[in-house]
Amino acid sequence: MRKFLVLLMMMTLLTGAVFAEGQQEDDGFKVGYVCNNFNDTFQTYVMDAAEAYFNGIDDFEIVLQDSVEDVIRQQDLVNTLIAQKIDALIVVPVDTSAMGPIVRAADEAGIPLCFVNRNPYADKTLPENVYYVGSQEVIAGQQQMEYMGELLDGKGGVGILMGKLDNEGALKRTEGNESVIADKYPGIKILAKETGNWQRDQGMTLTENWITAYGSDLNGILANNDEMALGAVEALKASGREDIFVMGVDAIPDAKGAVGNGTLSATVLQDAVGQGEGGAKVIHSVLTGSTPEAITWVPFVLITPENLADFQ
Amino acid sequence: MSANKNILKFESAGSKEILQKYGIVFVLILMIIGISILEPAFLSSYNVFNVLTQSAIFGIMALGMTFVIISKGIDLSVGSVLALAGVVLASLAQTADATGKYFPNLAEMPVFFPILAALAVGALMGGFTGLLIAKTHIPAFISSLGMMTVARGFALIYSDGKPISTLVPSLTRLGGKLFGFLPIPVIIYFIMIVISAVLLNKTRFGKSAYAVGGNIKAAEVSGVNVNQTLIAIYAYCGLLAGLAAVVFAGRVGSVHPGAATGYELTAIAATTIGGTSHSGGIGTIWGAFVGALILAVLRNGLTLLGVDAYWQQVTEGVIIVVAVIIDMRKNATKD
Repeated sequence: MRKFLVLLMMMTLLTGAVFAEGQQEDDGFKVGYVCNNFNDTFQTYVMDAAEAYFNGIDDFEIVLQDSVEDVIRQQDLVNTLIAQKIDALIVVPVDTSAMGPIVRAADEAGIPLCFVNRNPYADKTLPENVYYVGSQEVIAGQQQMEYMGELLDGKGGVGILMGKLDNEGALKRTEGNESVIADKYPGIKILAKETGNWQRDQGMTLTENWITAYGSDLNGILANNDEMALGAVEALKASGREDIFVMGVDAIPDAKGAVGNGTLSATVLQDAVGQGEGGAKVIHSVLTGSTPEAITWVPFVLITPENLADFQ
Repeated sequence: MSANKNILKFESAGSKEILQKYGIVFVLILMIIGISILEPAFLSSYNVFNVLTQSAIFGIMALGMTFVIISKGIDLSVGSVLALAGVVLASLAQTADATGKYFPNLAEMPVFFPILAALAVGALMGGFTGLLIAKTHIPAFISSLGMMTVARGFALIYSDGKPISTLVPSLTRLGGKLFGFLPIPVIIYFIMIVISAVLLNKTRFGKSAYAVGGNIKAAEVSGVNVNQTLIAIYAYCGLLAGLAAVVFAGRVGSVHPGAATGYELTAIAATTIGGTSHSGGIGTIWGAFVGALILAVLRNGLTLLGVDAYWQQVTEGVIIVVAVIIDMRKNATKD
């Protein structure tokens, strides 16, 4: 019966795959890491860092799962991991507004839950035994402006290239820029603040207009992302202005290249390793009996010509 | 094949027939035995209900897909239709104090109305796909591919690209459990299995679906209204996508316009694994149920066993292909 052969082949494949992975021993702690999407490159860096942390300590094992950007799949994975009697959960939400059932499931199972990178409880207090590790966009803006303030020696005029105006990242990064100016650099004036919708070409157009409008009063440009910053760099090159400092956020490869050749003064990197390790550390300490803070803020990393080599 | 048959003569016709008819059930049983030996937690009641719940959404979609594939068609739009029906449903079922409410002045209404709206959106979109296929004779693959993109676009337009959340408890309750252990998605799923089985086997609509898929010319000659049948089939498939949206919203408590991306393929896979033939005229509701269960058991089991997430996808793909091989052999023996 060929059909039986086919069945046999299938079962062999199945069990083969299973045994290749090996069975886990029951002692020690098992932590489930439910990623939003393995295709999300940034998230894989976060995940790798969490995995590396747990691999470095005894008695801990981490199980990595892929939600393929599907909220239901994420919920299913969480329930399955709970059925498997894991000891703790780390979740990168697919959709922060849909985490209620996951929080309930973890609570009913009595296990700690740590959200990483995306916070379902923005502006709300977290329930007991639920933690969050991530970065605050406002810090990115602050770190950018701190450095700009140093470069400008506390005086001059800057323009801010904002991202899409309905985006929290854009608003918070800009808020960060402004708060540092207000607190630390009263001598620096914000000449203009306009949206380039995250786009390189729009960043370029706005910068061209600013050069015309403000001339030598314009000394620095703070962009909410690297694309717009690189647009500004193009506009400055075309107009021959080499005295203006430009900064972006994201540390995309183009931006790091521009920091390397001096056309971009700095970019800001969201610290994937810090977040992944942070989530792992929180769970580690909960399971070993301590009570970490409900929220752990991971700072961004400012990339300048001085430390660029560390990020290549 | 005939030489092969002769070799197998020693086998009684009865057992052979059983194997042909229920081959896929054996696969399921083997999987269940294998997984529960390696991980006893698999058969805990908590996990069994988990698996059933996990199969409910794409299982419900697979029921409608069974009608479509029996009629020798395919409907790639159901995932997008789920998203569209879902955002409409969610917009009508937000709590009064939801932040960023879609309809700020809309009072809370009995959850029956938003659900009806979701079902209507699903049936309308499906019916339109059927109409396209019936009237223009564009292949179902292309018509439904077009509708897939259109429905996703509408979902994005309607929701402005944002998730619609904070839904009324009477809706999220539908994602919960009855008496603390019986998942309501599973109850809805089982009711739809019964309704679909009756529709397919006991009504003229079901017989027409088989007739259209088996031989469209013969169906026409024997008095089946092919166009009406096609429209009804796709409308029913869409309606079930709308119902799947209700279960989705119940379970998640929020609907994103990008929801259920790729679910059409899971539904098609479940239907196909269950033995519904893409050459038309052959297929059962029972098969779709078993197919959906196989996929859910597979996903759940591989996770329980700690198989690498990348390998899970590979295994899922292999199982689908192997199931179709079995399916084709079965039909070949019949000829």
